[in-house]
Amino acid sequence: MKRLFLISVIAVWAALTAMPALAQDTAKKDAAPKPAVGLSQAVLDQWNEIGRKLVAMAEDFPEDKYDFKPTPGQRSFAEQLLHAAGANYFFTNLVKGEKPPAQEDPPRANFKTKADVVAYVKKSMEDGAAAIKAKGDAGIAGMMVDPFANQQVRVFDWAYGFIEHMGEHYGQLAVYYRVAGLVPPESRPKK
Amino acid sequence: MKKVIAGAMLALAVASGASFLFARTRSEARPPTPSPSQVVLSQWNEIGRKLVAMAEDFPEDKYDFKPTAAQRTFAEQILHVSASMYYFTDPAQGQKPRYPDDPKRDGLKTKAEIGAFTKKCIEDGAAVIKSKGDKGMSEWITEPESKQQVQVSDLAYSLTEHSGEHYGQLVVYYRLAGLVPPESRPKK
Repeated sequence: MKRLFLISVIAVWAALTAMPALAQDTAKKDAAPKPAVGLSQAVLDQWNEIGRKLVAMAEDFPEDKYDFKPTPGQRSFAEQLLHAAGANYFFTNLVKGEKPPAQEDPPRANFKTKADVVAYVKKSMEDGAAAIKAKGDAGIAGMMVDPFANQQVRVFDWAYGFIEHMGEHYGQLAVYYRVAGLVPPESRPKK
Repeated sequence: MKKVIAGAMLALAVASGASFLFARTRSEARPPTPSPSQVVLSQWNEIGRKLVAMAEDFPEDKYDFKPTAAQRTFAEQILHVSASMYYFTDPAQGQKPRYPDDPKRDGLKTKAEIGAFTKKCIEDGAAVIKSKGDKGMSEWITEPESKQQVQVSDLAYSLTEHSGEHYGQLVVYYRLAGLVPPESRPKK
């Protein structure tokens, strides 16, 4: 229990600071505060951290289980990844001033192999990261219009909404792993 | 499928202060932009609302359900995600997180006790966000363990994402227990 808790906490801090987890864990209590990262870097670190975990699952899960789903009412493993990755373009496209994706969920039929799905998930993360970098600190604090709600929102708030959304689907996939008789990558002993 | 995406977008819209995503049209006047602390608070409360709904809805006789032996039970998931919120709430007030370990299940035995605990964890975090206000969201705080300087809003969002991960796990717990998660049911 304690180990699981620590892993979760370390993951949160790794997401926030992009520091090696063990280095954080062993930080001296009396050490001087570390320099702050910029606003866009903080968003980028959290985007990349959940992206890293999703890509790790996509690469790790056996291809012959890609259509596994715990119950008939749910998305398959592959469909979960395609949904989470596809939804990111509601962030990335809009931040770049482009239209949102025409398709809400990329069809599994268009991504037949594991390699296809992995490549799409990676590209989704990279495209979002590139958009955050391009915005920089000033841009990420700027305003954009959410066309669905006709609402002005800050770019970084919009980004964090999708980071949380990715987290929800990552959490679902962690249970898919267990039900499929596998251990999620983040829960394995670190080498 | 469309309903699911619409639900996700609705959650984002709620988080950003837009209450009725699809009721609006482009021709309508644009609603006032929510302040920085309002947006953080909305996202904090939105995932909190979904967790409380599950805690209140899940049958008490299934509270110790877990899909496999290696996982937390439903109750343990709720206790973990709730207690972890103090990794925001306490450092944001210059204090150490009050739960370095998950609260023990035998200390919170009933569904009512766990539901009340979850609500309090969310409310305590929300109160800190409100008290910090817009200016406070961009304050720098030193996280006690890593000694890293972080902005208050970034720390809040980090814990919001963490809550999302455990909410996602519980969605699958629901399905495996033969139940439909509250957010996936037809809206009344």
